[in-house]
Amino acid sequence: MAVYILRRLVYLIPTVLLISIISFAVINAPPGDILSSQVQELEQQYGPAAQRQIEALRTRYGLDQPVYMRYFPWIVGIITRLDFGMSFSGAYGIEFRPVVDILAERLGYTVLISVLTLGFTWVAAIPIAVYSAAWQRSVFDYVFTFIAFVGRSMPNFLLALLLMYFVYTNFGWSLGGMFSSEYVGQPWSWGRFVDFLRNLVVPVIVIGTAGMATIVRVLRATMLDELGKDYVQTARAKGVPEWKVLWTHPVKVAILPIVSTIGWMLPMIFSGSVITAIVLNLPTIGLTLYTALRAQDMYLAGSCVLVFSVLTVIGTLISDIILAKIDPRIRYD
Amino acid sequence: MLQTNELIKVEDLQVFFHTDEGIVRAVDNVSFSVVQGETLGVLGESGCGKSVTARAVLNLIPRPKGRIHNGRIWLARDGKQPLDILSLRPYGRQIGRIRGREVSIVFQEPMTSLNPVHSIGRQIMEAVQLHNRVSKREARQRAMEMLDRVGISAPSQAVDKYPHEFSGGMRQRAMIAIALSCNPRLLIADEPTTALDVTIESQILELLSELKESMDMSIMFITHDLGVIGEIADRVIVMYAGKIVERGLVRDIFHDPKHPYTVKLLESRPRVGKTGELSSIAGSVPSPFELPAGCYFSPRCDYAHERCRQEPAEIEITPEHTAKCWLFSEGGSGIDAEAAVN
Amino acid sequence: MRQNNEVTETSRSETVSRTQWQLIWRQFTKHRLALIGLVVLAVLYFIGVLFPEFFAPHSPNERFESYLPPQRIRFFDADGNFHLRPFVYGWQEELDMATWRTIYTPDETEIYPIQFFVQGTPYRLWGTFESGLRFMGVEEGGRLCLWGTDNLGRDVFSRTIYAMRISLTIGLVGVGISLLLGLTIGGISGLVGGAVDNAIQRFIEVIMSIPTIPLWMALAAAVPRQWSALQVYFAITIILSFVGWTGLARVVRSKFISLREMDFVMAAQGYNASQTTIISQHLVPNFLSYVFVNLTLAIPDMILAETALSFLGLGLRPPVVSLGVLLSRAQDLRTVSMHPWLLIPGAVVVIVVLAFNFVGDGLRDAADPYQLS
Repeated sequence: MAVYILRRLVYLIPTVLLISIISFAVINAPPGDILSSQVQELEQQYGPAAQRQIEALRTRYGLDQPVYMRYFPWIVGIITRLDFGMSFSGAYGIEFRPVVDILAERLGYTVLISVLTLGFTWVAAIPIAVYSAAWQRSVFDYVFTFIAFVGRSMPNFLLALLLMYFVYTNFGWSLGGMFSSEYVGQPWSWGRFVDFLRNLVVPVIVIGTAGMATIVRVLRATMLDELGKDYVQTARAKGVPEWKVLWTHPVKVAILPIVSTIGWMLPMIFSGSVITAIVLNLPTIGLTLYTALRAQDMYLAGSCVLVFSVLTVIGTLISDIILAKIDPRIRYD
Repeated sequence: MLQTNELIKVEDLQVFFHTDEGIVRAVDNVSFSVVQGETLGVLGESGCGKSVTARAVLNLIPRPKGRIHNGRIWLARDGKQPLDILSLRPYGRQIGRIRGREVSIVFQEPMTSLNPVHSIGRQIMEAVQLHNRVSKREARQRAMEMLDRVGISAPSQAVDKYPHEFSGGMRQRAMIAIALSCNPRLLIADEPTTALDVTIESQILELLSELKESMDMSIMFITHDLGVIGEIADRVIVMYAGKIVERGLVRDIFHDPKHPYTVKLLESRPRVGKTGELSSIAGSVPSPFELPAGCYFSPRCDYAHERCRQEPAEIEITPEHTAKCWLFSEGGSGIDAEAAVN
Repeated sequence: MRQNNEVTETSRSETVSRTQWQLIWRQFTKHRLALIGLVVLAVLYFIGVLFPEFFAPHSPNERFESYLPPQRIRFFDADGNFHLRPFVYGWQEELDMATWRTIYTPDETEIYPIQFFVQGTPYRLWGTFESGLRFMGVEEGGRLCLWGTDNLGRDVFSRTIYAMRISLTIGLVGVGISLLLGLTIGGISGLVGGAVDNAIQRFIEVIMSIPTIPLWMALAAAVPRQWSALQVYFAITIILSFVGWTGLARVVRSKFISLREMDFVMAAQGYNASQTTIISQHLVPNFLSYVFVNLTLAIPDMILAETALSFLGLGLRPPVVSLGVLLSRAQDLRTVSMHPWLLIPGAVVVIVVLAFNFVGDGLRDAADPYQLS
């Protein structure tokens, strides 16, 4: 097992490096030299007073050098000093802020929302898929298959808007942000916690729906496949009651591979969370990416892409390890 | 209903499958019984309804496509009235007390009939704990005993292994261990050796015969292999296209076959000392959607006659031996089976 | 010896040989939802891609009062009289004294019968034929704005119809480019094998682990603002397909590899069939049906992506009319709660994507009846 994990970790290195190159390409994608335009702005605003600062920027980001030469200082800075570069946009005040500070601030919520969404997706998808498969062609099956189809076909932002509208007209909650206005900046209390949860419900549903629909589809098909297999008949032939046959035999076999769906679920969740964060104004990395892109604050944007991708890779690794641990069929040697 | 020594009696069983293309009469009016302590062989080509018959005995017909249209399956019970298995709800509690405890089944494919993500021990213990009031430890003990009994070495280690760590033969032994863990009175073996190679096959057959004696049970053995039938069965029923065409003691079937189909089956079997080409049966099994009128075998039969357009009755040749063929009815000519076989 | 000892396992009577496409079509027509999806798509493409100028009552930039609410098509007037010709009411204006906003309500005294094949605002069909013929309209003085108007007073219904031309083709073009990339790269990967295959697979894995929307967003943000609408359209299409080809490449590769090893190919080789027969009779149909299914399922993803990017203001931008651009008018809860009809183009998106998914699923089942997932 330890060898397996170690091998997977080593395997990770080229992947992450490639991702970092793509992220860096994103930073440099906008035509024209984005940093130079920032520098120009600085000059115009502060004139010669900012000259020293401008010089420092030039040398630090290697503005006079070709793109590939700029990559190395950037990646070395990240690895050795966690230095992702600076955020140059005015979105965070006149002062430039280190990208890493902005990310650190928002990583927590991002991971929290993603993990909650993952949990919601599974908790909702598994029973639906199992019952749809066990009672194939029943009303339940048709209704949920249809809902799953709609869930897959609904743009995230539309679902977010509709749910916001629904919640607003039915409960009078005006969602947006992590906390309602009266709790912003307040110390934690029970009321604040409840408010926090209430603000999480809609994003989690919105981000999770598409993934849930996909899992229901996949799991239902796998379940139908498994239900036709001999070992299910074996269990019935032993005299095991039907509900127990269902939940202890085919479900267990079909569910194990679902753990590995983290590999594509995480990119999907991050994609969804970006759009949802923008509509619902949630302080996650998704929103940061959006504001950064609009302001052409490319070091920040590229770092967001990098963080999302690395989180995905780590999530996939964890899911592979879990799967290897719980599924006796997988050999990791 | 039941004769004194009959363990199970199937009466007029009809199982139909409703497919997109039409209705398949998988089992059509089949009646037979299994006597205590015997091994009944069920012989037929694939698709003749023998496996469906086996599953019907446990009311395990896959729904909603398969449906039991008619029939009764009486199970003898000690000191109580016999019970009609088909009258029980297929997913109900009562049938659950019969499955695995009174009647067990071993399927054809040892590769797929064990749950891949549960250990072997757990799969035996599941049956043991379901039908007996025992602790987990006792169930585990019983599982190891059973593994030992079916000839798996080092049962204390094997009990924690998973199916993929076993070879095909060992898996089939494990399946037998599961099936026999609660001392059933009838074991249905649905082609248990078809997927195994020849040496393993004879080991398993030997094991089954031995266990039958020591555990005092009956076996219903389903196969398409004449050699296996000869090795293990006491009595044989021969099925063709969902119907029983001939039944008799194993020596009657081998030495004095009556139905032309059985005769052909025997002819297509290689024998020591026989020279010349092996014959195979001309034509093919009729499609279940385009069954011929009357006797289903008539299009392939050398003795086919006008009468065969009507369905023949089951004719008793001796009290133990019947054939469903016009040749043996009044005025029928019979066939020189002896000559045909040799 | 053993095989001979058994009863011969006779094969089923030979199935009537039909070409694979006929079989697929026959299976497909059994899938009712897929058929409905196909019809819906045909209608929407006919209306929105081929003849939006004819079917939209107004030009996309014709302006009326801002935020007119949707009209209902009626057959009965306020007095309960039946009209054979459907009609709409006009609006009456009121000023809400509390909020100082203009409120429009149906004016039951103004009845405008809907007329078909009328002369409306002139247009150039496909940029060439001048015409003024519109599918429906109302007589002078009345306004036909079935789904209301937006902030600039433009008819949402007409704009939705025009928007389909962009939104429904972007998926097709994007998938076309994906197909090209996927076929080439996947094909190389599957045919060459070895180290090349390995490297390509690693690369695909990396791209797949990058969440699509952020990557799309980042790339779309790099599209220069001064580009023309057409340039942006193609840039966005290329960006969408640049990320979308990976799945297809994988499918192509695995299909190539598995087809090479498939039993029936071996069997054909055993019978001494020529290489070309193997390829044309077995490999190509099997492969094409597979690719076709995957394409059908990739189109809705692209449509959704365009909608999302444009909604965020990173994709297509006004004055281009696409479904995402229309929806970007409804950015926040305030707008949505006051003018919910601005979300109607979203329903069109859902219907189109749903229809594609149904068709794709139907095709998948039909092309691959023995595989469940």
